[in-house]
Amino acid sequence: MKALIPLLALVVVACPAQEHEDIFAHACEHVGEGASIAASASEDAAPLLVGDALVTLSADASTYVSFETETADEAITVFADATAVVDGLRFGGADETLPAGAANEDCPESIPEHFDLDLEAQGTWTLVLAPSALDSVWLSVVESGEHGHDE
Amino acid sequence: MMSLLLAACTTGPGAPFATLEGAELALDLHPTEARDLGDRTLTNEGWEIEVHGIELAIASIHVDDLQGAVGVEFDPANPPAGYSLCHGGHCHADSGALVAYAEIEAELAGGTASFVPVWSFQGPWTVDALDAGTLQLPVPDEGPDVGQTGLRRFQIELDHVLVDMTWVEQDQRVPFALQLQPLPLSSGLEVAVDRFSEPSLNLSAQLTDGGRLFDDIDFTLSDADQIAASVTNNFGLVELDVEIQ
Repeated sequence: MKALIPLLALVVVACPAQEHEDIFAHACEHVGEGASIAASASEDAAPLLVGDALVTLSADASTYVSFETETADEAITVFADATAVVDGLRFGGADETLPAGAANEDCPESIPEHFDLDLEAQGTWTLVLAPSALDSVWLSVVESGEHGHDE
Repeated sequence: MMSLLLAACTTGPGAPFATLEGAELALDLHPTEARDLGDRTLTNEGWEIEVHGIELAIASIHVDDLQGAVGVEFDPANPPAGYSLCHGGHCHADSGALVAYAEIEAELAGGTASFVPVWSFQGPWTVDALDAGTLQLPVPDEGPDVGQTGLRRFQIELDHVLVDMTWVEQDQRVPFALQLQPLPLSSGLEVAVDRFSEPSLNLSAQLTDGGRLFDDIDFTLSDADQIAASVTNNFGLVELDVEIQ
């Protein structure tokens, strides 16, 4: 019985950590992964970004990528491996508020910017990418559900 | 042996829980990589500018506790109306701004709460933030020791900012000398000083370019006053990271 006590304690400690995956830690582990796609010069032709991708940028003009929400009132987090690339958010051809970005505190150097989006409409959303001195940026679009990973 | 243990665990009446050993502010407003064209900076509207200098006239710097927020119950998992998605010491306001927990608590307390300096560093200092460097803040002769308190906000009070820049469009070069009076730069902190704290604390702050200082400006339509107003507004987007440990 004495031998079982440490084992039980281990199980009790381990369970809460398995309740949900931490998207912030997960993003740190997968920076730079994903298919390569070219952001489009026009909003209408914005390629669909699912999960992680290396996105080719333009130095001359804004470019666009899109992602979809399956339900209304969805929480999405967009991670970027560079600051000042994600520059706007649009839905249905209109500008939406892009909240201020902040570093992923789990790996601020690898992911210096992420955006928490609280999206009320179902459908196709567009990210506006600023003209850039970088050839490409790694982006990850993740359904985040409840926040609060480090309260 | 027993007396040794007692000595290690006892803090006498009025004795400090922690002492501030050092404090520094690193400044580097070189453009972030995505906007760095070498000798020019790229804006989000595709303009190219040369930034020759960003001179910060710093009046003072202080680390504050929030006092008087008695009875305020702020739960990041259940933020008040107007805020959402709280984590990492800040919530998102409906306006899109990031707001520190302490600022929200102060707001919830109405007029009863106020930020009170725990440590103050009096300037003035004048620094060129393009010439990356570190400002060693003079630890006060009196008051670096603190008793039980919270450290909830780091704030830089700016007297003014001078920006020397040139907008470059093909063969055209248009110089601008901008004088800005931005709001204080703040960063929320969640540090408790108590008997469990490290006895020696060091403060390390970094002010870096967020890449958006010259964004959302149409240089063909804007005069110097309009550009100054936009850059003043954008100054709130520079990144201020603070560690106390």
